[in-house]
Amino acid sequence: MKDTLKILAFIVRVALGIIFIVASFDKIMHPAEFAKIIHNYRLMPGFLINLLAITLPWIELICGILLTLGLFREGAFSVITALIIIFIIAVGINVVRGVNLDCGCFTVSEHARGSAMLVLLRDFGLLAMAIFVYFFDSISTGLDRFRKKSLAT
Amino acid sequence: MDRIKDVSRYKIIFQSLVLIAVSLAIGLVVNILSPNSIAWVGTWKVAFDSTGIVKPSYFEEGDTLITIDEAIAMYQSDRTVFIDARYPEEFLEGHIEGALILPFEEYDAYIGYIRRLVPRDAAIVAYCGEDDCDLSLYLARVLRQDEGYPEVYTLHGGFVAWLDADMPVSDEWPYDN
Repeated sequence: MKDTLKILAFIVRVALGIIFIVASFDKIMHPAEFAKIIHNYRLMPGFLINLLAITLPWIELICGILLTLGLFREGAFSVITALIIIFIIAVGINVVRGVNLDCGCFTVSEHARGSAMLVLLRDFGLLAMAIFVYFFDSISTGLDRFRKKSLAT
Repeated sequence: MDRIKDVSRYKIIFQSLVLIAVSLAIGLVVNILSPNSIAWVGTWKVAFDSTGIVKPSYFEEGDTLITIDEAIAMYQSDRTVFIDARYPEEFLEGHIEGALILPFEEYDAYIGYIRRLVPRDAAIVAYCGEDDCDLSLYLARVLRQDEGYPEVYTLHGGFVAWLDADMPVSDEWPYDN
């Protein structure tokens, strides 16, 4: 049973890492479009939007790679979990105040609210994956295992 | 020490900060070197300066922004058609008198009305809510590029600017059904 959980947690950890790696590619390639998306959330002061668009995808990529490999696992895991929670808060605020995230416009349309709810649901799915990893992922399934050994000798 | 939940908080915080710092550094360096690099600080709030309208970051070549004064001058002409890019609910709460509605998000459902009612040689002014609302810019692009209307403008400042100028508004629905 314990081994099953360990293997399952390993799979979930790798999946979570890969999701963040994949999500970062498009943003790294198209920072201007990503800046527009951040603008649409209407939560950031204007002067921070481009800086966030330039750096956030790299945080996702590097932490995604490290989480997948199980290297500096705790740090990568914490950053990614923090990002998921920030995403949930950001989308949640906009669902409540009725901002259509596709266009960044304030709207009273139910249609726009529905698409934001889907994003919210997806982010809660990611959070569930992270919680599972937090409790069940074993250090023996990642590269940190070797790091620990070399530190010990 | 095997599970993440058992690792000390200090270690987690330290690792996290190092990872964020490294990622920030890489991101900043890549933005200097990349062909897709963007300005460190973007122009997100559309504004005016001494040269006129400051273009927003999502402005593209071919977009034509006009000021509220230019829009008011065009309003006097029979050739001008104002098109509201917002949702019907917002349109019904108040819009530029005489304007048609083409919600950008419900384009397919409404474009038939525009094709029927707006002649090819019309001067179209697209607008939406306020000065950092971008729907009208996107709508103007589609009308120009996909529908082939040669003369499409976007009202900078949108409906809020129209209200501020004390221009006529209406809450009537422009279509028969």
